[in-house]
Amino acid sequence: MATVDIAFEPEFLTHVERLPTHEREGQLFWKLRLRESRSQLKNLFTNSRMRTTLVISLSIFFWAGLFSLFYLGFSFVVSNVGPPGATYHAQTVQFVFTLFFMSLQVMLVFSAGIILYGGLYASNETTLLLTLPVRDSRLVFYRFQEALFFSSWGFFLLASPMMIAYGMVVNAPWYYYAYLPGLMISFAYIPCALGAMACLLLISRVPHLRRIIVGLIALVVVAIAYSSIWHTLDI
Amino acid sequence: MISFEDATRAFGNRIAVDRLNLSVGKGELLALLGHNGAGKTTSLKMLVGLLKPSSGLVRVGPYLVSDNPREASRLIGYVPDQPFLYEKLSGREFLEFVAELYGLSSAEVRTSVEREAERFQLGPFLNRLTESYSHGMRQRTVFAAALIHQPEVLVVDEPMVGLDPQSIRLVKDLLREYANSGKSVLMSTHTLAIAEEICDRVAVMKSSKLVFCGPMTELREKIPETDGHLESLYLALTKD
Repeated sequence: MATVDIAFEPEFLTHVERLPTHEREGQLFWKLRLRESRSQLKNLFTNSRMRTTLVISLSIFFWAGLFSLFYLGFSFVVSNVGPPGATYHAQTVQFVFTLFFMSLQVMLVFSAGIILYGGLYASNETTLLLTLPVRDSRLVFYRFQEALFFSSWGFFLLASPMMIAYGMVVNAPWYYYAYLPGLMISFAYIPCALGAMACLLLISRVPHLRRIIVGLIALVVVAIAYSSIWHTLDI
Repeated sequence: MISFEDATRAFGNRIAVDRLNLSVGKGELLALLGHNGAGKTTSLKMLVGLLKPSSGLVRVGPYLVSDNPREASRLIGYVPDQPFLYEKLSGREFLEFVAELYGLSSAEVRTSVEREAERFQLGPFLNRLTESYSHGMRQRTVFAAALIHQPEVLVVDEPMVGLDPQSIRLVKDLLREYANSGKSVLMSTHTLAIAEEICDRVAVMKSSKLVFCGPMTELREKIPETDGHLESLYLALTKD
């Protein structure tokens, strides 16, 4: 069966041909975000000064606290375990970094998946956009970018003081710091993409079992984490 | 312009819309009536591409909605029962965003926004953030967004809920004038007096099925023992 009867009304084709390209759609969503962000920021700095000041101050305090903690920790490793290049130093740092990034990776998978679910399937905005001539892929990408942003800010807040503290303790060259933002952004993409794919798969294949499956996976992850910590204590 | 052909939608074992056959032509205003849960909103959601029919077809102009949702939605303007507005955008910015998504040029966006702002008397608050709008202002902005691209089909779900008398008059006149200009209007409503006043035909759904579709005269002939008003006819038709 033909899905489009072009002879029906040729002027309809003119309407459809004028719809935005993929790139133009992307630009329109960026413009939307910029306008919303500008308005949000203006509101934060005019109507909610106390709250904004509190959030910024506490974030700086939290970042500085973490930085101090990591700086002291890595200094302890350098002075008591071994200097950079020594086998024990390398093994210790590798262990700390693996544990840290592994934990954050799991956190990012879950948070990105949950945020994407909220944005795509339980959102009035998505309902509006689905009734407008927006490509499905653009809509998913728009929501994925949002999930990436909202799930990874915690990662940047935790990872940046550790990486900078380590660089300072071992006197890393300038390009170590130059690479850090790129490294962290690209690192955040991988677990967020995994979380997004898991979310889309769950909803498309077993929508009615989504909560049970997420709960089971969370239980397995907790069990693995518990077991790993237990064995670490054995060492 | 709009046609449902044996359109059925089920949620698990529950059938929300059962083999719906309904069409709305150009220049026609049709009111879809029915109790809560009769399947009106589900039918409208299939029409605007928010739900896919479990079986059957839904067409808008030459397009099958399930196969060409983007093309079909270009021809539709939709006013939902629970409208969404971006709280951190002004009414003007929201209308511009919608117009640009429909592919209107910059000049067309400007003229369309001005046209709809004038039609819905949005001028005094068009540059304010929508978070400060009253229900009536929000509803008028959503109507303006639905008409910004002058769609061939206007789909409206419960348009009068929460509106003041002035806004109700505005919306009633708009719906009638829009149909008179050769466009198709499908409206789901519980406000029977308004349906009776402005619609060309009424369609009544009961327990997921369409039980009547035709002009008021036909409905009066079908149920002659009432006073002839839509309210009495509707109650008689949907009586268990």
